[in-house]
Amino acid sequence: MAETETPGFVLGDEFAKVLTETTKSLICVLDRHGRILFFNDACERATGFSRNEVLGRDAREFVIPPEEADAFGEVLAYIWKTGHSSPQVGHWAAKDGGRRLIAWSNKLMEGAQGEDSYLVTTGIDLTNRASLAEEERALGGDPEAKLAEVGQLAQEQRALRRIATLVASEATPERVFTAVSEESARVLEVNASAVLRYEGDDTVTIVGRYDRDGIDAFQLGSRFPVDQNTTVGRVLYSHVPERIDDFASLPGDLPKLMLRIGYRSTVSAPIDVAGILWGAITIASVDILAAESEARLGAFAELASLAVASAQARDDLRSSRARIVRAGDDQRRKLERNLHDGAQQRLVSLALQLRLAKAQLKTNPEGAATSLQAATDELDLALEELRELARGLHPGALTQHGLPNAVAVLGGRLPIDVQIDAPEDRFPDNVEATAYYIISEALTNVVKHARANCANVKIRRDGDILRLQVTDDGRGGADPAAGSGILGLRDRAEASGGTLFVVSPPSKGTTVTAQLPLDV
Amino acid sequence: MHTLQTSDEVHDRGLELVRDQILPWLRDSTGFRGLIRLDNRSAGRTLVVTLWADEDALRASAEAAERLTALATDTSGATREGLEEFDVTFFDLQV
Repeated sequence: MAETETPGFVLGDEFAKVLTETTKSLICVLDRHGRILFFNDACERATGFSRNEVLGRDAREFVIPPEEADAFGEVLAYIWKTGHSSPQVGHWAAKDGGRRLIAWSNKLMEGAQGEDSYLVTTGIDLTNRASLAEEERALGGDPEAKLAEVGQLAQEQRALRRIATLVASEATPERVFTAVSEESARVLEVNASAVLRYEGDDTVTIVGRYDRDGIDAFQLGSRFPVDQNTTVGRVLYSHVPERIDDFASLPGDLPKLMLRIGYRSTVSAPIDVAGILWGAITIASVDILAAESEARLGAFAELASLAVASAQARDDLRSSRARIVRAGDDQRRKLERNLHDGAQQRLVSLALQLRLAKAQLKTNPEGAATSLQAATDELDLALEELRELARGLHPGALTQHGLPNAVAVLGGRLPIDVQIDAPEDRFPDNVEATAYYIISEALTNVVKHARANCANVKIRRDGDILRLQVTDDGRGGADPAAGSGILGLRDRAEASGGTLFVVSPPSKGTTVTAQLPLDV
Repeated sequence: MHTLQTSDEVHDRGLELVRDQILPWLRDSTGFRGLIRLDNRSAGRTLVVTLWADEDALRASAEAAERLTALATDTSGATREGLEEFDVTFFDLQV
């Protein structure tokens, strides 16, 4: 530095004073808490605040606009944490409520001994520049708009990062959905937001909510019908973001409720999970929502759906585990009952009959013969029941003769016609067992519920996948939510890394399709 | 409640059958609560009372229980006189 100084000129306090008074650049010094320690003439001119007002006070109380307060805090924290600073473009709020667009460069200045360092920021006011050709080239368009967009993106990114952090910490789905609501309300600057899940029966459930006005309506867990008078209802049919701005013209309880609360405008955007419409995010505002709300909420919902998917997947996994354990317990209980009421009872009878025969042997040989015959019959029945039970546990035919054979044996014992189309190939034991279990449960369901005359079983190998299909000509209309039959099948398929779908339109029969990976 | 006509010898055999053959099976039956056997030796009559949690439990095991009791009665040489169902309206047992 010394060699660049002209002799006789000292770069000292006096020079700094003159420079800060005369420059047109804004010069401001902040401490690590964002308090203003220095505020030059240019700052006063640009904002209308006087030095006396702002010195020693948090910049966020005066010059930092509320919508950029979070970003400001993060920049400060970053600079003090890393010691690095980078140029920033941001807004300052003027005393008259206006906004100045300012490009800043920052540098940390060591404090005097033992004191904390200061951040020296110098800014150029871009607001009234006639020509912004240079900046325009750099930013590629209207810099105000570009800046707003970058600011929005940054805010959305921060919101999504907070949600992702929650998901990673294995928060409950409720907390994740609540966070998604809160962040979408914050990002889009609206009064209220909710995450809603479609229930498959023309209703939705509120699974996450946020409102900044303490509204009683639309509580967590509440359910309401979806129809064309709601944006969630419209999303269900259109699969794209939908808006309603005028509830007064719509019939129904929900538009009335929205009016009563004072919400004028809502937008809903779809949340897809694994390619299936899972639910929607809805925002509501007392003002008419901005024109770009659909696009912004749609983009936010698309990104948030990843978080929803993982929270949902984890929840599904937890409940399917619980169901598998419960199914195992139920199975053992059923087995114990079957043994007790079946074979055990037969064997107690048998013991009694043999005693009776023994007692009758001398005095009543004919009676003894009858008792012995009864005992023999009882023994046959006991054996048959035990065989039946053993087959239910694991069919011997499966291990010995493979899947098509075991399914044929099974089909032969059912009161409907079962057609089987399957290759003779053998597959890994666990895949054959899972496939057999799924086919046998599906066929049992056909017999129990479908009122079908015949069923078709198709087994196909497709590369590393074994595909199963069980169709019937019954009445259809099987509901995956009712009873645990279909859920049990799906759990079983998913436990082995596969998938299972049930298609069952009313009076068109039922088709169960499963894909099982062969390499597990 | 089963009512049986018995003799001394029959009585002993019946007791053994109930204790060794039927009771272990009954104890594992859903809703089974207990068995009481009452004898009047001089009159040659025996009452066997089985207690069940509720009517559903009784029904669920009725058929099998009846079959086994009938068989046990025949095996012991007793004669069945009757089978009746009662509601327990008061029960106080101190052991």
